[in-house]
Amino acid sequence: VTRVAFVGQATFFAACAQHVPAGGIEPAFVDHRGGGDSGTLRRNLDRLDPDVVVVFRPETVAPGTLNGLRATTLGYNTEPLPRTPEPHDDLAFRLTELATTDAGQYDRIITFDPLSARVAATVVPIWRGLPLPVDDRFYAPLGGRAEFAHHPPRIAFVAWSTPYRERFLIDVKHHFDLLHVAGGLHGDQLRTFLDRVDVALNVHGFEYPTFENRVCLHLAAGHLVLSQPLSPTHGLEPDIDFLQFESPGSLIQIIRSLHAQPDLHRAVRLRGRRKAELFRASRVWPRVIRDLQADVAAFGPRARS
Amino acid sequence: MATTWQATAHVFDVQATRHALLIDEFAHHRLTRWQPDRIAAALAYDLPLDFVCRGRWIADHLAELRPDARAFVVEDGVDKTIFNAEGREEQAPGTPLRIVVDDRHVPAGNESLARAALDRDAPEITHADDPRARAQKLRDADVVLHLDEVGGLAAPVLEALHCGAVPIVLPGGGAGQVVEHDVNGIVAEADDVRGVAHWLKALETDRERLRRLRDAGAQTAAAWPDPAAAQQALDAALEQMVAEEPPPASRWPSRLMSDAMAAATLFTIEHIELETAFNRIEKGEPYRIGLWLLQRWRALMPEPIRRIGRSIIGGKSLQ
Repeated sequence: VTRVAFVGQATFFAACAQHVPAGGIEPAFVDHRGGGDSGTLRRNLDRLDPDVVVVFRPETVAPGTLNGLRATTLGYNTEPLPRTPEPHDDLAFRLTELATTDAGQYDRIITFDPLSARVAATVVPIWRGLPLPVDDRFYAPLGGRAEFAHHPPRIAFVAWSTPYRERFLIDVKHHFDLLHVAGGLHGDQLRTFLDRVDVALNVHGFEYPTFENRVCLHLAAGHLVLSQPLSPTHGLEPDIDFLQFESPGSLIQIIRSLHAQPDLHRAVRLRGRRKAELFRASRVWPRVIRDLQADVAAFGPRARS
Repeated sequence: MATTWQATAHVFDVQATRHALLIDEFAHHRLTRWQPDRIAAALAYDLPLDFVCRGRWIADHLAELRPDARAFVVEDGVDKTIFNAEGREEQAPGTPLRIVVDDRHVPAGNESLARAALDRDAPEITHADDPRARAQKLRDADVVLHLDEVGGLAAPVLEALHCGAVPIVLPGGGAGQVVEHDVNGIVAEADDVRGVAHWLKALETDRERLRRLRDAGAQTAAAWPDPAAAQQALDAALEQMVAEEPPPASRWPSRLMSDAMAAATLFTIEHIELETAFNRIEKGEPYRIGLWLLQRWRALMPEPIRRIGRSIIGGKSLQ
């Protein structure tokens, strides 16, 4: 059995960690956010004495905090980063945040976005890219409900508001009931909320394309997901695993079709739920942890690109 | 039994006790959003047919889409007289990893994840290769890169396992069903160029791991049916199909119209998106300048020079 401590802000990352022992992993979650007390984090880790520590947003752990731990350490970049020479301000800012990472306290660093790995590697060494997994607790049964639980279907959007997002959402809010949860839901509250929803929206925060892990979360929950184009796709196929829209008008069209016939896109919903098995925490984490340990054994500790 | 979605157009022309469709992958997954064929291909699975599935993963998904229908799992056989490791020569440790790329699933003009991850030239399995040529290329390789995001067919991976090449695949579909990560192959991540390159380096460095994966792959291959065994399994499935009555609910295409309307909705949206994009381009400054230049060109240049211009752009109108 490998004891793994997942470290990150619970609001965002508890849903990406493994919580149930499986695949030879005995997991624990340690809540820690940027600017949090490093001493408390270190004491918690010393108490748990894990074999592996996984840190979501490695830049949030103060330099040297993990030094001297016997555990193998893995940093997980979860933020979108620039891909072009003249990036959006938000991306440029996130790169400066990642650059504050004490890379020396991690054996390996991975990123959710393989398409920005080259740029990320200019500030920290990047080992691999893979999407953020989804905690098993949020998975609806395969096959799931034959029909939506509600008529018309309940539509939700879970993310904070930005002017760009509101351009897409404003008409939806005017014409339909949209449950917009700006944040703060996690754990059992989030699971209860997901159970009450049929359709989930994904709109990027800004003009640049990216891949939000809420897509995987909603697919796992058995929702029909309506999303802007995803980049990277992480293997998700538009109009096969989720419904893709590129303009506010198209989003309205899709929702209108669902109001007219709620089970119209049933095949996409079922396929999306099945595809979500690829992101299941108890499937992904044991594999990544074993790969990590084998790689460190083969190539030595300390992050490398 | 229709063996492609196109053949379902004629399957009911045949007077038969049962009608069936053979599925080796979901054909509409290979078609892009803007290909109208995708609509027809997806509807084939709504027809009142029995289904013979080349893989458990297909039957499992079909059971969700069509809980009323019968799905029989019959794996495709591998010709072991062609696909085998006989005469295969293993390389000594320290020599470069021998890699063969199987990109037959990559549409022409699309980027190849495998090629992006390679730091050297590598031979390729092509559509032109007959089975014997494929087998030889696989026997000459330590690793085959078969990075199919749609994850449809298991056959390329099975052929590799039979010939002693370790497959690196993406999760899902037939490949994901056959390959168990770090047991008989490697399951990499979609889009992850760096990760695939890492796996190649890891296997080049650790020949013991490569041997372990190859040995496990040989066991997977040994347990896989040859064409004769696959034919026996197909015969048994067809006999069962005829002997047992299909569920009454499967006699009617109850999902057909809903799925047709869903596909039409999405195709309409695709048209709207395209129209919006064209409108945006037409109103844009670069398009207007280009058009103005073209009109000036036509007005000012004598016909012989314009003819030379047309020949350069292949005789097509700039508009």
